[in-house]
Amino acid sequence: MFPKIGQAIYADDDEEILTLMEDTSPGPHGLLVPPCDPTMYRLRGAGCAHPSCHDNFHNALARRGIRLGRTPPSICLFQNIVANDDGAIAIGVNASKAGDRVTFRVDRDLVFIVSACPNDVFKRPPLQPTDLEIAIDRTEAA
Amino acid sequence: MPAARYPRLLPSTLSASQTWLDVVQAGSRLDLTARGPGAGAAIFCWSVVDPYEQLSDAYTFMELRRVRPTVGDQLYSTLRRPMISLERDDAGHGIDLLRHDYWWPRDKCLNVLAAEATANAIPAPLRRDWPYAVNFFARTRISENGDLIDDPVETKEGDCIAMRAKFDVVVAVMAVGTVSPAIDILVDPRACS
Repeated sequence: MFPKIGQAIYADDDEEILTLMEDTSPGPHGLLVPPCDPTMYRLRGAGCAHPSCHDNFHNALARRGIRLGRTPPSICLFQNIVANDDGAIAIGVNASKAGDRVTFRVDRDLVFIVSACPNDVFKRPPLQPTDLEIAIDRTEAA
Repeated sequence: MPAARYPRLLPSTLSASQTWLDVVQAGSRLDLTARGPGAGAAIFCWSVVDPYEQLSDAYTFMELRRVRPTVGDQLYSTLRRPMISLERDDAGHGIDLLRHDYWWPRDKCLNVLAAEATANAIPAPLRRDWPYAVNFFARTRISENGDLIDDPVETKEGDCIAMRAKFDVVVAVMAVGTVSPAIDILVDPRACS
């Protein structure tokens, strides 16, 4: 459910695609949570035009001339989700703070898309969109 | 060989690793019955009209706020629309939304099912765009540190999981486990609206 340092993230073909190398945040990071999407905002009364991670993903692909019929699973970094052993889940306030960093090693050539979640709809727990900084270190690339 | 007539609506029995794929009309009930201990099934589902509106483990997980649906719950599509309602679960918490393929490698599973969809002219997404399976008769649970634990399947012969389609859908099933026969499948259209 929650990747740990040194663990791989796998693609649909069961091959390793990323490895989690460092994480200075309190985590956790959700692997099963879907990205926010226009339907969610419409159902919550925010309208279909509200920005979403779903649309950010497809818009980013479109700029590269790529079109996908579905939205593949996302990794929800810093998503504070807790699961208990009877299968119930609870989503709490994200515990991340400015400066927390997650580092992945890229294990094969890929397209990497990041959406800074624009969800400002849910008040409980309070969510506040924040900026993200992304850096790529190519020194160890083959 | 001519394509089979779909929907077939006749009972089907699958052995482990065999597949079933069919159109299930809105309001129809679909029963999956275990034929022996340890039987299981991986289920895929999408809209007949739009194969990219698919049964979503993730959206169902978020709507229900739990990873094991129970009788009375609805399973949701990628458009957050109720797609299937659960009407019976003799196995008790016999469904998990944990997106694993402990039972059967996804790649092999999709190759077989996608070929069956093509052979029978059933609407289906592109091979790369297939949804993830929901696991029936599964006993996967989450440990305290978030690891998935594949508990022994407790399914008994005759255990049934029944669901009803909320709109016209394609359902694809792969029987898993080690028993043969593994799963009986019955579509009952009598309750169609």
